[in-house]
Amino acid sequence: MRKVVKLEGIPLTEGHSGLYLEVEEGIVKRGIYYALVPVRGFETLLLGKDSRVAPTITTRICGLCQVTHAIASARAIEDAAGIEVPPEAERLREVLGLAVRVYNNLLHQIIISEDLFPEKKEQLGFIREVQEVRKFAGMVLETIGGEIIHSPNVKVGGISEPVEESVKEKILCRLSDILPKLQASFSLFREKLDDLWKREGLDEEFGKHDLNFFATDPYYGKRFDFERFSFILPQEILEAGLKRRASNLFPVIDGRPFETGPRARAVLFRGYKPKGGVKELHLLRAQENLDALKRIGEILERGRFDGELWNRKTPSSDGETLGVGVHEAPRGTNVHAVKIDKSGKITYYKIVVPTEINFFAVSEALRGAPATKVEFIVRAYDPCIVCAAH
Amino acid sequence: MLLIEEVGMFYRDRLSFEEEDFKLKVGFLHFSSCSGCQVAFLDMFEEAVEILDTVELVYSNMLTKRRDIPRMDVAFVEGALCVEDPHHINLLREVGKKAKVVVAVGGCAAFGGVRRLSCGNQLPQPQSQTFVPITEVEFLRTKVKYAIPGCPPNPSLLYSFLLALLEVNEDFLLPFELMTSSTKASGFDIVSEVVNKGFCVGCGTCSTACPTRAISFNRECGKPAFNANLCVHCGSCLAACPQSFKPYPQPVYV
Repeated sequence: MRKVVKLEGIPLTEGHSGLYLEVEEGIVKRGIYYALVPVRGFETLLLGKDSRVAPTITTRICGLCQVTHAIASARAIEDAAGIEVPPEAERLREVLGLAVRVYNNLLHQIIISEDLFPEKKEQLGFIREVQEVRKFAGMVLETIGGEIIHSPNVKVGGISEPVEESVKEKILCRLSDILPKLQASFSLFREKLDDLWKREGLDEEFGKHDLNFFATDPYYGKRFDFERFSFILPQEILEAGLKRRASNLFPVIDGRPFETGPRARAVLFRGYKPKGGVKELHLLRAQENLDALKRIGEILERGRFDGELWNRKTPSSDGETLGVGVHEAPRGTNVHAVKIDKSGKITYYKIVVPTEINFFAVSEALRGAPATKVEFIVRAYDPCIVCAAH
Repeated sequence: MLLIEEVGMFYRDRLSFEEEDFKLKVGFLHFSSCSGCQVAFLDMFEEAVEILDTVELVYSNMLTKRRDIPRMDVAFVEGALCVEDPHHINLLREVGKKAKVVVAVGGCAAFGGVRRLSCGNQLPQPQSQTFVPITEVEFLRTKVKYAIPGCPPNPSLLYSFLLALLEVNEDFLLPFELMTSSTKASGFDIVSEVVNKGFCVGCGTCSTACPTRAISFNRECGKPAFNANLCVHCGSCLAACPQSFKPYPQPVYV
């Protein structure tokens, strides 16, 4: 007997989302995951605005991975208007992107810590350790980006504030203290994750799917042909009651669903052989923190960033050229596409965020899972619902 | 006692009765916003852990497993209400019933913030266009006691606010109380309420407070210069301005 179960609000995730499950003898036969946060209309509110304000406004799509939207937006406008960005500014943006990756991935560890640590005292101890590393990532975001959340320094054409050598040295000095701390918390995280899987009786292949992976770069983001995206409306696949409520689009690439995120980056750029299952997703995400911190160190050591980092050319284009900005966000590939007219006003704006791409991946991963454990699959993908319903 | 609770005298009454095992029950609720304000609470870093240990976090979709909304002393609400979403309205009504005090955190909840720019007509739900800050919602009028400006609010400001709330430091809380009835939130108000009324002393605090750098400092005339394109209506400038909270009535020009 097939039963339909509808869950609304998944605890220990960001935002308000829902699950539609068709269950047979306790096993999910078909599942769809969708967002229920109202659409805020970032794509329409930008129309007619000066394109130079887009990074400042789009960064407010998300409070968890703020700077990634500012970067993708600035890159899209630079692409549309043909503005050259000083290479040091691009490298600093990469540093900001990696800092927010660490900052956000560790936030996810804090969010799921209630799952990992049944003892409140241990949980607070773990959060305390993780917060130390997040504080460092916050410091990087604040000194280079201007603020921890919603960096104002990411501008169309570069970065508005140079970074003095003494400030850079300070970051590098802190970095060498922080790396061992992150390593220690990573080991603890891995141990507790094993415990959780044992406690809940989950196997290694729990949450397996056979979708392909999508990513453009291990760290920063490379241009991607936006025409390959097409979008399925929730009204096309969800039942009547949800047609007016589900607030995300389901983007597909060349007509097929994909998974993006830490696992996609590991498979496509590090030659990782996926075992399937969502447990490795947690571990790969945690591994990315270590890689990101090392990469931040490398970039800062190699360059000087105390000169002019901002090409102040006023953006202008023909209103037809589609500018595409890609950034590898913590949860996967974040793509902004924009058209601007001669006076620099925005005439078209489209945002595809990683969580949107992953909605189908989560839905696929639900298939075959025990209906009582589906929340663990959703949490493993670290969905950011506010981004999805931008 | 019940009557006192009804009219909105809040947790401090409990404090006097149950001093021994009193732990302030707080909850976080998320409406139409970016979740950044809740993350800003965690950006107090080590202090956030202290706070989590001191107060009892009874509800937050992000940090607790609880599905139903329990009774709580203080509900921190971030984001604006989307009138087209029936879930939002039900949730806000429930918050109004379950919480003794509601605090509007951040620009969106307090003054509308970046939601003031929204105009709807975006797929897949083109009808979502009416966003109202919770300070303007009539059925919550007696409940919303404090509004915290900022996009997002500064973590150290949030820390000081929480301490003031725990210690019932009314002097510190007063400006936040006044801000619930304020609709003044943008750089335009800095010009009309402070500069044009002759209060501006040219200290530059508003320009340092602005999270989008929409206000710069005009060195020629020693006054703020405001770029309206970048303003997200978060209220930081007016809240930071030392001249904007005058204890006497503001002058009226005829």
